[in-house]
Amino acid sequence: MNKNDLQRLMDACRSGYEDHELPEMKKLADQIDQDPHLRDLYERSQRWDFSIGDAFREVDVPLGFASRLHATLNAAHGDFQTLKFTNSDASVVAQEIDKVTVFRRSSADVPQVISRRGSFWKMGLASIAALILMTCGALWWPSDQVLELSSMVHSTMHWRHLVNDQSWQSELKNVLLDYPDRYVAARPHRWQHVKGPLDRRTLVFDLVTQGGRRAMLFVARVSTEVRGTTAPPEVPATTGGWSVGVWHEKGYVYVLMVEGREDRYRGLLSRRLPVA
Amino acid sequence: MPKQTRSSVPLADYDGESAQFGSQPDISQLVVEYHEDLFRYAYRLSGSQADAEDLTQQAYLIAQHKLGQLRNSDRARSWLFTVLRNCFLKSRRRKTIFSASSLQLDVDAIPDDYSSEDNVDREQLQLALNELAPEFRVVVTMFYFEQLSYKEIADQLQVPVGTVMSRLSRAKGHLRRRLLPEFEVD
Repeated sequence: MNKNDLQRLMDACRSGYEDHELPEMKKLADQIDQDPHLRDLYERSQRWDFSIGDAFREVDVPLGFASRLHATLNAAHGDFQTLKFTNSDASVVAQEIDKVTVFRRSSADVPQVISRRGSFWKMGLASIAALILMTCGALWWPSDQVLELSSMVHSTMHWRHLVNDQSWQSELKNVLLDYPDRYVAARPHRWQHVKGPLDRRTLVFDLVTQGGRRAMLFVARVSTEVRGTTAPPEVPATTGGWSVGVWHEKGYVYVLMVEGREDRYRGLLSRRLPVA
Repeated sequence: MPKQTRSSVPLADYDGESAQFGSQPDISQLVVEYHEDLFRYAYRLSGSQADAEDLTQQAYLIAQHKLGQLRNSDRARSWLFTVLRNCFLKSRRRKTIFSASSLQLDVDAIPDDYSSEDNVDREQLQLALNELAPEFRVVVTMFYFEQLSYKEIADQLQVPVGTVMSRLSRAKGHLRRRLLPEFEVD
């Protein structure tokens, strides 16, 4: 038996087991008994395996990984279906949405407030404020009361910073009305309201994704005309490591964003998207 | 970080928690019990945290779907490892990274003293693993992580015993050369 054969047998013996005493290892055992150098080599090999075995298991597990797994498995198991809203839920949610004060860009209310105060000095300040407001509104609103989605895609990249990680709520039952599940295949597992640029109570869903990558869907109610795609774009805008798609439907603007490349974004979408 | 036990612990050997499983564990219990082990295993196979998370999640999704096939809860851990390993091999089948023929045997590439586990750099270990072709990485991970014998590895992978011994020896030789630079030149 040459030394390569011996090495092969030694490498097949596990540390902490008596594998070298197995019948098929008899040649190795005999050599170890007869050759002190080989015995030393074998013992060193066993210690080496012990160290490597420990190192193999020394891996940090990401925080929250178990929760993400549970959420994914629950969603896959169909729990989402049981959370689907009913008609009665829908009416409750609709009422809730109607309470929301839609961001309006008219300056008509501003002079009324000023006139009640009756102060020339305050009126001057308020006029300046109104002018600033109108100017900002005109800049932000590219055409007369029409929201162009194409011009706001990149600004929505910053929407994720509106989210407060302490404010997530897990009870989805009353908010799923606004979830565009025919377009978005990924399932939400929690939600919150944020004060967004379009809607002071923009709904944000935190989505379950493959591998636990961050993904969110913003749903903002708008009361003005919107121009742009009415289904999620297949090719998202990408910047800063995020991919974002924006579309609108029936008075809502949807912003879908995911941490990662385009394929991560497309992985969130339903495969039955309408042909653009 | 919690320290792992040295031996491969079957489900039935756990105190207390295993009693909750009964005859048929549900997937939530399997997540609680094994997600850390599975993630670590996946990490050593895939070499990145993102891929390890994907692999672990994929394994649990398959396990959830095929849970009825698990008739013996004592085998839940090894069953999950098998599911994960198959996911890995399927994903990497066409991505051979390192040529097996370049892995030479090295009897003398073993240092005199490496009794301390501190001698093994975990990052270097992963880099060395990443250089191995998937079929070598799987064998060496089954050996070290699951502490399976070469016969058990052959049985699970359904390859000849000689093939497993050969892959194991070559892969271990590669690790020795990479992790013990003073022995790089044989």
